[in-house]
Amino acid sequence: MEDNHEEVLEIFCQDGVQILTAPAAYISQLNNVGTLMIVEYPNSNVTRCIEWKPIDLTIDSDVQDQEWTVVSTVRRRRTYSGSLPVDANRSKHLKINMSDIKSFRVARKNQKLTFRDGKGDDLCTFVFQHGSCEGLVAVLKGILKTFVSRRDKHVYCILDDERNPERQQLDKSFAELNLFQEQSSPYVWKLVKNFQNRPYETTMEAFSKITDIVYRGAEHRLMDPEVHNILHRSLEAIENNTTTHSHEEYEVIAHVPKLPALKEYPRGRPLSLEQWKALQDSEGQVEDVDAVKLVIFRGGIASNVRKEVWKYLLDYHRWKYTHSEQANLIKQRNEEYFIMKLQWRSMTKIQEDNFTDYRERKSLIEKDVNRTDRTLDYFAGDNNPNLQVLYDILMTYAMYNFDLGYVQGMSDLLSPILYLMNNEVEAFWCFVGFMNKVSSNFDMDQAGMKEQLQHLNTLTAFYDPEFANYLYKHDSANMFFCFRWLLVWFKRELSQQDAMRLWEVLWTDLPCQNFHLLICVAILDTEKHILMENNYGFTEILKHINDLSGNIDVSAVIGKAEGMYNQIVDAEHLTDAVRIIIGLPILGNASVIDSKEASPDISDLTLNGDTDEVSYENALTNSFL
Amino acid sequence: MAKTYDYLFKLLLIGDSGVGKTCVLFRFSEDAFNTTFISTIGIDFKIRTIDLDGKKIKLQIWDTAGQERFRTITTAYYRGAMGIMLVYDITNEKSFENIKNWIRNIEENASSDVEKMLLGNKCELEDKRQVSKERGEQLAVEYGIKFIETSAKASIRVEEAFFTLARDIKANTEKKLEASNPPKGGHQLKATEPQRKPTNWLSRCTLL
Repeated sequence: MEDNHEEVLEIFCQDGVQILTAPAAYISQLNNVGTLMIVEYPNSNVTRCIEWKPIDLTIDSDVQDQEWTVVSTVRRRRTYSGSLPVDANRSKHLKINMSDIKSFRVARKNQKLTFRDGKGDDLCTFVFQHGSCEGLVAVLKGILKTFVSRRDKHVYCILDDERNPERQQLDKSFAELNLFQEQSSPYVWKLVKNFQNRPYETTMEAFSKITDIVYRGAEHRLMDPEVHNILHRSLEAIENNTTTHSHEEYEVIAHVPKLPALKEYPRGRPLSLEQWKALQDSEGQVEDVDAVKLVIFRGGIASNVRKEVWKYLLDYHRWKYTHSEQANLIKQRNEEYFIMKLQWRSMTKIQEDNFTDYRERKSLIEKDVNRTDRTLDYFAGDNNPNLQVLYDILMTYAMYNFDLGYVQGMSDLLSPILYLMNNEVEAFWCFVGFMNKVSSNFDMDQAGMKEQLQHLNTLTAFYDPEFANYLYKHDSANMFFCFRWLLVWFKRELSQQDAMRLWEVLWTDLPCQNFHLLICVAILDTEKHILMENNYGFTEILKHINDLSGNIDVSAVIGKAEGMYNQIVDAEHLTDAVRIIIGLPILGNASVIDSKEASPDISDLTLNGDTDEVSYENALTNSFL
Repeated sequence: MAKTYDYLFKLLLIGDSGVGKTCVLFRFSEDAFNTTFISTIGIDFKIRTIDLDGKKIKLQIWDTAGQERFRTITTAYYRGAMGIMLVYDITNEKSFENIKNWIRNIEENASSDVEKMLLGNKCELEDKRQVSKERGEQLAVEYGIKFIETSAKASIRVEEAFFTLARDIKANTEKKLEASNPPKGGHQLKATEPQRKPTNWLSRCTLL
């Protein structure tokens, strides 16, 4: 086997992957970061391998200077398949034959993945620094036959391929469909791979063959009656949903998948003091946390019990603690707070003079405290003592989380909490709980914000391809006009009371994770007619969205977003890209790539949002030009 | 339909957090000063159309968040700007020292012929002054740009600052237009449709 003449197909690729453990030969590469790939050598006996190669340092340093570099590499993939350039540093490349892998285990919230040889040894472990291994797992599930281990739900076992009866059965059922001229299993797997590389064309090609079967009759084929039925049913569905546009020279048939109808979800009554008391046992433990959260999701929390319940939602109090355990925790947290506060309070003038970072933080906090919600009575007027408390909490937080420090927007998040708690220590720990949920909004490189804007784009493209297409054509696919919404969770758009209502709803994590993105989709859906009818470009869209501040009906928006959530989860064409965002288990089929096949019209848009940082930055720049 | 302006200029306000960028803009666009300040999150803009030597000039002025953390976002907007106001606070030495960093950001991200101007804001706070007017002037000379001390609060020279910047951009623009479009007989600028995606600096001005 000659390396130089080897044909290599890249099936999957993800950057920012660190090697944690590896076979001894690769010891020098341990802890290095690089690119993880699944590659195929069609001309070799060893058809598929997992490969890892270290990052090219020269390129890396270049990249670091660019804006928006740290893009989430979740599902970032190169969809080309062709020969890879021959690399002189092949020896540094880690290579594991796919056939040696008997299982893999996913850990640490999808950030760590271990391949195992089935004899009790780990082959190697990778850490996904920026994103997660969900994309990789989805692809592995697509090309291998896997099942979840009964002993450990994080372990995926791999069935031996060719000789495996299940694989044979699967091949057989594909073969019965007779979609391919040649009835051999490699073509089936080629189809699967083509779905990844050219989803639209492959789908069309496959469909055309199905049409062939149904229209031209299948008399000469031995077709299972069940298969026959399924094909007929799907064809009927396609016909009902297909619109035909006649162009001068050719006919375009676009299949527009429909969402179920949007239903109304009126909000319920807020969680009352009586309900709250009834849900606690005599020891103060909350037995049915899900029930509490559901009531809060439906109608928020009544003002006379809000202060108490927020402490639970923000992890300052523990649902399952008894009164005495709670009291211990409070005592401990109290002491902790004053220790941290003393750390900055006892800083001398000289220390401060020699500590630029600290000084800059302090000055930034001073500036922002003086301009946080000063129109509210609680913070109004000169020498208002509550401003001092706001300042002290933010300074202490900067000591608590020195890496994050203070970033503009944090004072907006603290203000309603302090107003409600009206107690320095309680407000601090509740603020910590809130920050734990949203700290990625304040990343140094803004990667968290960028990822959310991309997710918002993906959701919009799935929910309303026409609107997403409009945004794309008007240089607004970057969704940047939603930046303020996301950074401070609509704090600047809503009254204090409404912001508090929305936050407590979002803290329940119901009905799904990232529900705040569906709130964005719901508001945009209400505004899109104005944007599109007026043919607004990026500038006008930004202005319109910024000017919505104070004109958003929070209950209506939450209800609408819930309705949209139900439409999305009930959609037959729900993609893995959307599943990942809203936290549903992914199916690991060919649709993992993105929402392209849901709306082929906007494949460019999705590429723009999902593939690389350069195109993203260009989109942002174009918006302004 | 007749356009209500002859030129559209995009301007950008940059500078450290809290130097008064939003207040300067508010003074210029609304001729008012709001004592209940609020920090800028993300980016926003305001519009004011001014008369300059018989031409109506629409100024679209972009206001940015000052904190370093948001630089990755705000620099994306530099490229479209035709004029940039660099703002510091005369009562804050650090904000003045940071001007050189902001200049570097412009050099890295804005088009090379962007008009720049240095603004020393809060000049009504004479008793708290940390940066002398001379140092401001000297820095401006170093960079070859104009300098003005302003007060958004007391409404001092804010108009003058924006008019000066707009006039410089206009002169620059017309010079370039003439160079690329030599007048035939009468001096007439040809009406063009506004382009949605301008490809060069010149075509970013919308002509009537």
